[in-house]
Amino acid sequence: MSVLAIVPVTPSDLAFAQRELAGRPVLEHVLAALRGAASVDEVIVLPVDDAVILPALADALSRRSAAGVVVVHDPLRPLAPPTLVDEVVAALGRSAAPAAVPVLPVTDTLKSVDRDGYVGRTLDRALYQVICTPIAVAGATLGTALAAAGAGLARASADLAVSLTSLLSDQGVAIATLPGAVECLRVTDEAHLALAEALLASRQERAPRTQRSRPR
Amino acid sequence: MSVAAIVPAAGRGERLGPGAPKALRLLGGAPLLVHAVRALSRARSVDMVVVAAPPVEVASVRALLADHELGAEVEVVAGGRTRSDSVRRALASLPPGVDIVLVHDAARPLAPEELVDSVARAVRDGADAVVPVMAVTDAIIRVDDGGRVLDPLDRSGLRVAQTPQGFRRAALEEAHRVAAANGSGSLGDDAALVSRLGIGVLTVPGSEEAFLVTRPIDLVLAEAALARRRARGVR
Repeated sequence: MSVLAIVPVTPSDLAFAQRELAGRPVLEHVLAALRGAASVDEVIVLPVDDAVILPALADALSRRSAAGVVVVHDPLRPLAPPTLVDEVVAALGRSAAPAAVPVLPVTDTLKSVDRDGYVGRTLDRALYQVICTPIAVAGATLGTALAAAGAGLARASADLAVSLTSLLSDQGVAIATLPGAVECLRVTDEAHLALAEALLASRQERAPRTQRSRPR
Repeated sequence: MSVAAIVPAAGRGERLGPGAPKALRLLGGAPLLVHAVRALSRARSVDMVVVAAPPVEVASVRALLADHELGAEVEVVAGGRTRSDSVRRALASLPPGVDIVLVHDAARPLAPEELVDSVARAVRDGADAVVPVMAVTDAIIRVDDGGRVLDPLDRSGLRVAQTPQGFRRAALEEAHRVAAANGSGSLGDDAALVSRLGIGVLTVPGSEEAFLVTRPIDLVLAEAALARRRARGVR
């Protein structure tokens, strides 16, 4: 079964997708992780406008022969490792759900706030998870969900993970969760970029010597 | 009007991994607790800081804080089993002249002095309870017991709560008294306990730098943020 990985890149993603991280652009780290995943057959970058990620995705998929599994990944998550990509693809085979998302525990305290700036209730963190990407969806399921949503797609959130999980849950598609990697943080400010540099450096230190010293 | 800041720091913080209590993990060469206390004590609005330490470590925490140059008067008292117990014990130790109390997490070492002052100011200006908040940037979903996704969460009406949280002293004391009586002291933060009394909790803008250090990755993020702050010439 063929596995197609798609990285939609919006104009607002571009600023950080092009920023240098350990000597190469953030987006290149993302593409390298997808190409480095044993399960992925093909990787494409899909330039899209901010408001229309899902319609662009539907359009791109309609122009291609159907993939068995589509992996959708965020261009601003440069540290999600190839093993995480393989795990979301493998999760589709293991579970009855035709979609799988990596998740992390919510560590923040979340409160509802009214229009006057007063606090309402405090959410029970245990009932919630933070979603990250890559998200894997059976190709046929994704195609059907995109087609069924039709014009509603244009109203989707500009956040890739939110818009895709919203689409799938609105269309009644079961979505399995699996433990994400804490490294799948989204690089959207200078502090994140500095953090990503530091994490990459510590990852290199931990890597066995044989992987580091490549013959030239 | 006098302002005291309480730092409950008696917990273990297991999510950071095994080792020293969370508040004593090092960041830029100094324990998280020292960073947190330093920001509070340097804030112009704060007159005194009370740290609730693990009971067996009161003397060593007192010595640790004495080693660092800190602005305001700093007291160390024995904390309790839960965070709420620790806040209650610190509250009980406050002198009568204190009428505004801030409660701050030791695990938010980089909360800036300006944030501390703005929370204290909002209480002084008449709010009974104040919590600094940030927009929710994570994509969050609701899940069922089996780990299946139920639906994405609408983030528009939600905020991430930070600390220091500020209170009229009487409101915070009453909230902790009621929580202790109901045995519900360990549920929620201080703002949630006060809210349960029907007292309005006002929000003020939080700070990017006041993030919680709870996982190993947060410590790396804090190191990076501290390095940037030092590069800008801020200690």
